[in-house]
Amino acid sequence: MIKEKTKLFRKKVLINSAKILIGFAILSVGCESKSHYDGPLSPEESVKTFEFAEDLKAEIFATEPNVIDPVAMEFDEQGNAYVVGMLDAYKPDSVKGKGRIVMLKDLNGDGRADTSIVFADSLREATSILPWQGGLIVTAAPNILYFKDTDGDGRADSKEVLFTGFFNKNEEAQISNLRFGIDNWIYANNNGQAGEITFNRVPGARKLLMQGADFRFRLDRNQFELTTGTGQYGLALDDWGHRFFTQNSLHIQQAVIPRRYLERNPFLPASAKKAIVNISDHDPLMFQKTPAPYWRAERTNRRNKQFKENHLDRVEYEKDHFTAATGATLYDGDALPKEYYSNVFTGDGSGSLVHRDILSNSDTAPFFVARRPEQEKNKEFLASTDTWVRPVNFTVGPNGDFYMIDMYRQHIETPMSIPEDLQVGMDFNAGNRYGRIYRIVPKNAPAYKKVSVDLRSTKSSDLVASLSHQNRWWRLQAQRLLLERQDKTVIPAVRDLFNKSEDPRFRLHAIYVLEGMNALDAEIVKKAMKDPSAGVRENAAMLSERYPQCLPQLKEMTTDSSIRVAFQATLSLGEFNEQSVTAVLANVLEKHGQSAWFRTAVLSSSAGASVDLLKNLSQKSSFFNSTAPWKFQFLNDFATVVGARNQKAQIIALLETISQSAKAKSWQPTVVKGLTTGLEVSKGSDASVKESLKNIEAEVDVNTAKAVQDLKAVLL
Amino acid sequence: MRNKEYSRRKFISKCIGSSSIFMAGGALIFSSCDSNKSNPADKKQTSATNFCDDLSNVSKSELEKRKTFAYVDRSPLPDRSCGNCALFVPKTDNQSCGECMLFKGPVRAAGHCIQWASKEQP
Repeated sequence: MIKEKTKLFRKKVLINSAKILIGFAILSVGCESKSHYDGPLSPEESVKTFEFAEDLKAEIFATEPNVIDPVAMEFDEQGNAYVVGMLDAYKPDSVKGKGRIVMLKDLNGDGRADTSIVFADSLREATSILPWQGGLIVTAAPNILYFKDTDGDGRADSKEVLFTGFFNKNEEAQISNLRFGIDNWIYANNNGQAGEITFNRVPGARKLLMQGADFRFRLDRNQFELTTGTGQYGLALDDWGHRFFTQNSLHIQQAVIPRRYLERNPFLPASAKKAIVNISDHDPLMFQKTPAPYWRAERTNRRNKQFKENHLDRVEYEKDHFTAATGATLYDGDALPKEYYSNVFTGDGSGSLVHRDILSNSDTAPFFVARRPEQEKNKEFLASTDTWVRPVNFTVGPNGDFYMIDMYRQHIETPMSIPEDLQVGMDFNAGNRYGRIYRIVPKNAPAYKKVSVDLRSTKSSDLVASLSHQNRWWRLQAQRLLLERQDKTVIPAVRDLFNKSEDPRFRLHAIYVLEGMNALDAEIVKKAMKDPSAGVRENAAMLSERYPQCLPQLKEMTTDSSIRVAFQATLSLGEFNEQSVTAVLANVLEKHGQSAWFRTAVLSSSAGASVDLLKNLSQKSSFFNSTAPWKFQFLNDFATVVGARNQKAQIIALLETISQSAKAKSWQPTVVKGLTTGLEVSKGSDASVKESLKNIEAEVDVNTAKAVQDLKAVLL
Repeated sequence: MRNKEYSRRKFISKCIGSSSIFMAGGALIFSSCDSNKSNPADKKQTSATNFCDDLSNVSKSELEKRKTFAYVDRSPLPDRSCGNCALFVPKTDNQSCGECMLFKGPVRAAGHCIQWASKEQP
């Protein structure tokens, strides 16, 4: 009996053991995914996997443990390198708040950081820094903070919340990328996320509603406002203040119209509100050296299957297409060959590569075109075969070298966007101990030589000399320090620089140093409006808005040979309400009306959206004599604005203007449709008016005269 | 003694039995690795007319996801919305809304979230 029981027991054990083994086998075959992903390399091994398109090389500047999960680096006026470590990226809420900023030290001067001092820690999702008044401004959603080390031990002992209220639900799209602009404003990307922003230094100020916009502020004047967005992670400002930013699959976009111009006309229809443009002429291809990770390949397969099942003419690619573009940075140093100056570098975290764009002026549009360099038509500036390499950002230092910031992680993706079953076997903590920063230099560059920097104790007059440095890092530091100091004794020297410098970049710095010291005047601006450099003229047009005596010259600039200058002059002209402005805007429309950008520039202004503008156009033979799609679009948008403004006298005047000449009459249906569209959204239109408008819309193409009469009747 | 031995066997046997059930359960759970099946309840729709607004069958975690992705019903950007996003799957019977590949529940063609991606044609 006992024997039988023992036998039975053994049998049971065998069967159940077999079941366990099968279970393990299923698990290891079906779900074991660690083998799908490679392990890390040492910095020395990893750097060997970098393939440059040209004669450049990468030198190790900093590694773990001095930097962990680095996402941004800035050099302060003393030449100290500060690095933001986003140690809480891709972590659950329970472990957030582990971010830190470290100051790197290269004690033996060999060009490689050998120690670090924690400047600030316990930061939640810190993403960028900017030196200011001896401390650092830090973006860490929902805040923008200001830290300062007041006792000189290298660690911040003072913390101030400057702004609060930014979106903070997703670390990939929060307030980031602090940049000091040539115009003395500090810019930051906000990815257009909603938020209600308060500025603690101005307690009574109206809250800013951020949705759809980026952010800019001036701490020297306690100003803050929305700016054209939506930049995600990566913000490049060129010498003339143009803004370029990155967003996942769109690796380079430009802010074409500053938001303040769109905001001055609250009645602009959505069709006329476009302010940013993708300027790449080579989307969406990139050339990576790494294979797609298992999870991405599998997710792409599934998505493509879903597209097919839903009969969608769409395809997703698992690799070689921008999906994680990040860190757009303009190279403005003097250590790389001259042809790299003003190129924009963008990383793609998923492709372990760095892409380079050359910005070219367009003859036909008021924005740049981003092109691949000839030698990089089918390869990238830098591509690695190490799948852990994550180039997320870049910076330029006082020595003019170009630095690449590599988070160095096994995975770089919001876990939430990966199907749960594919997350099995993915270790999102793999990389928590790593981080690398490389210095990119020409292959034949001489051995690293430390640059001694002490701008903090430099005399203001010597800072003026730094405004003429070939490396923009020095120029911007000097401009910022002069702004902070407000040492008016330098004004004559700065004016001298403006008047005598042969380099337009230096002249523009001089202009804005004067602006920052309230020492700019109409005479300087007038001279700048005639500057041989388009970039200087463009900025001068903007500054001329403050000086009515510049108006005649500004009008002339609307016919400038540079389309970007003519465009800015059109935008700036809209800041003036003089009667004479309307006729100039009508001329602009005739010349550049086929461009939606110019139409918006005109329509955004008070004069450009006035009935007088149409009267001016009707007096010109060319506008109404021939039809063109852009004319219909403009008239429709124009009438929509007039309708939405809902001022009866203006509407009647518009209808009369359009009825006066036989030629103009053919445009009546477009105008009536625009008016009804505008009136429908106007707060002043009640339900019965809206009902009547629908009937008018329905009859306008059949009996235009009656529709016009009915519309007038509704208004009366 | 016998009783003790029997009890030990019984205990081991029970443990192994339970373990195999656990393993089988585990295998079942992990077998979802190779599928993207969703809860049928998630697919339940009340009617085409209120599909766009009906979040009653969407789980709390999926609602949290749409918040994290900062989904809004109306895009703040003039030329970018779910309707021209690569991850949007329109409903054939109602073009004004559809589904997103990143989170469950209805999304509007006029909506927007931070994961917006430009469409690529084959």
